[in-house]
Amino acid sequence: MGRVVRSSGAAIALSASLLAPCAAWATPEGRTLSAGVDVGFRSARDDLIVPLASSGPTLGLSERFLGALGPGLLDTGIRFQFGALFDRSGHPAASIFHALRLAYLPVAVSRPRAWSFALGPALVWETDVLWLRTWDDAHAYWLGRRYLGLSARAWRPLAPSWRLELMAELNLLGFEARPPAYRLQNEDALTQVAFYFADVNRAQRFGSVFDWQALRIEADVCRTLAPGSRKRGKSLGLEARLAHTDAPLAAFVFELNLRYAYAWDL
Amino acid sequence: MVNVPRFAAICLGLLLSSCLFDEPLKHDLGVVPEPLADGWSIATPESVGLSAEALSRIHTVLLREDRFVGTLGMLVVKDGKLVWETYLRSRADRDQYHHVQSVTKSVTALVFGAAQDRGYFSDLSQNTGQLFADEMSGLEPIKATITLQQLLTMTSGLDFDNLDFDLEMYTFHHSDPLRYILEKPMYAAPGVRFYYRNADPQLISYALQRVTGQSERALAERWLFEPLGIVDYYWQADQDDGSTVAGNGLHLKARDLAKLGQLLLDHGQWHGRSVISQTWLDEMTEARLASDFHDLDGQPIPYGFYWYVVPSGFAAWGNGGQYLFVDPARQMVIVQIALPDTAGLDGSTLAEFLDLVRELL
Repeated sequence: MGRVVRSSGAAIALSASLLAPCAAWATPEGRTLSAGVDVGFRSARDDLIVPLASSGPTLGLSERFLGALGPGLLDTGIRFQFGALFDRSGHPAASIFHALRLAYLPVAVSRPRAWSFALGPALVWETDVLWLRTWDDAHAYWLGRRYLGLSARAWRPLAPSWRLELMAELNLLGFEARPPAYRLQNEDALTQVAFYFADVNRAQRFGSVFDWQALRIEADVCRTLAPGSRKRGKSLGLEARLAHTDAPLAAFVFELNLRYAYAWDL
Repeated sequence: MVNVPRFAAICLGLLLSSCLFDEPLKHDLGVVPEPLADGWSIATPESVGLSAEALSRIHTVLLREDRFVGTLGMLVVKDGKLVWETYLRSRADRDQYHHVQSVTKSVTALVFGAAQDRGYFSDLSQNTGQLFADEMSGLEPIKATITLQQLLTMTSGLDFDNLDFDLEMYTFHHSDPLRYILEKPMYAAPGVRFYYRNADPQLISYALQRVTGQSERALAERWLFEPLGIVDYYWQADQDDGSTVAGNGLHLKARDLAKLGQLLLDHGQWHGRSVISQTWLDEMTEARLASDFHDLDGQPIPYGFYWYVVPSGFAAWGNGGQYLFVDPARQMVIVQIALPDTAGLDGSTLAEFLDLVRELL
């Protein structure tokens, strides 16, 4: 037994180091609420202002509900991240990411001792805001997205009270908001909180995954703290996130996050 | 057990792999102007006596990523001919208008001069009390004594810093923007101290609108841009009252900006058509006081009516490194356009610009 636990622990740690984060404890019959903190590394570039990537650390908070609903899983969450980035010349930039998502995933395959799968639609509202103060101290640059996407989840037990979860999500259809190619107004309301949630999502255009892409892949290693009771759990995972568009000019955000979360059964 | 160094190495590798790639900030897109149907004749630098080597050295500096960092393009006109033109980020910058920031103030001075030429203002001692009698109601009496000359020389005494101006005036909205400016406190009595800010030219714009019944933009279109063949431009208007943003709202193409410089060289005429009087140009470019800005020796740059008076001529200067330099003795105009909302990048001060082009002077 001890050997199994040790090898499982190694597998868990290796998975956590190779894959990406975010948490989900709930088996299809359970409901959990989790809160997490993540640290990561983000790289962002917007050719609307300068074709230089700004990269640096991020810190984020998230909250997620995952629970059984009918024949599937209801997966909702909110998230906020802040990044302090620098370009190759050391010019600083601030980066904010916030997201709200709601997914419903009918369970396609459910096996207690092997991989289970669920697949379904996701509604996502997320925004990347980049403030490159050195290059433009009056305006922000953003990729805002409201889309219908496809979300897939797979999970399997690794050992008693341990589980591995994988998740991937990709946009299909939706609205993208970007700054205009040429800024006519003198200044964005950068000091107003509402700017980062409302103003940046104006002037949206409809598009599909062929026009712009928002991809998220994550892997979590989850552990139930009280085996058998599922009263509490915690998870560690890695996440990779990519956002890309070519309109009006190319912009990218790519990041890797390490996330630690704590969960409560409801 | 987990191999901690390996785990750390894998994490570090993943983090580094997440860096996106850069592209060059600047490109050598050539320096030879193309003939366009825009009113400019093209010539070679040598044909007008300019040193190709000196221009090449300037180009080399512009192409450096650590010098003139925000510069988008530059052009040189001599003897009425466009002889050198380069763009560093994209050729499309030639055909796109650019936010020229406080160069707008210098254009406001030209529009004001055109109005003066047409007799709309009796003299520069007219004051805000006479121009804005209704809006002055209930304000400190001293505010009614601010003259046009004081507004044209940034000495009104109204305390409205440029750090706040755009946000307060054009992002937040006011039912009466003119009154909002006039309600600002005084930092000094009118005429006492230079204090560079957008409030003063904005009041000049309101004065133009009050006496002519038209916005400054409409006046500029009729009196200035149409005669010069400037058709593709943008001049921001206040969303609340439609007034023209006179301190920094103008967007012009580099070649069109050069036309304004050539207008000054040609005594207010463009291709033989009189646009503005030499009398006003002389008044406008006369050094009247020391500005807050300094040359490379640390000396304050003299200021006229929204124009800087420099040793070999005069200049309009906008935030980020927008320049219109006019050298009457050498019959030369030099224009630079740059990223408009930067400050502190190399090449964004008038002193640095004059140092760059001094070989041509």
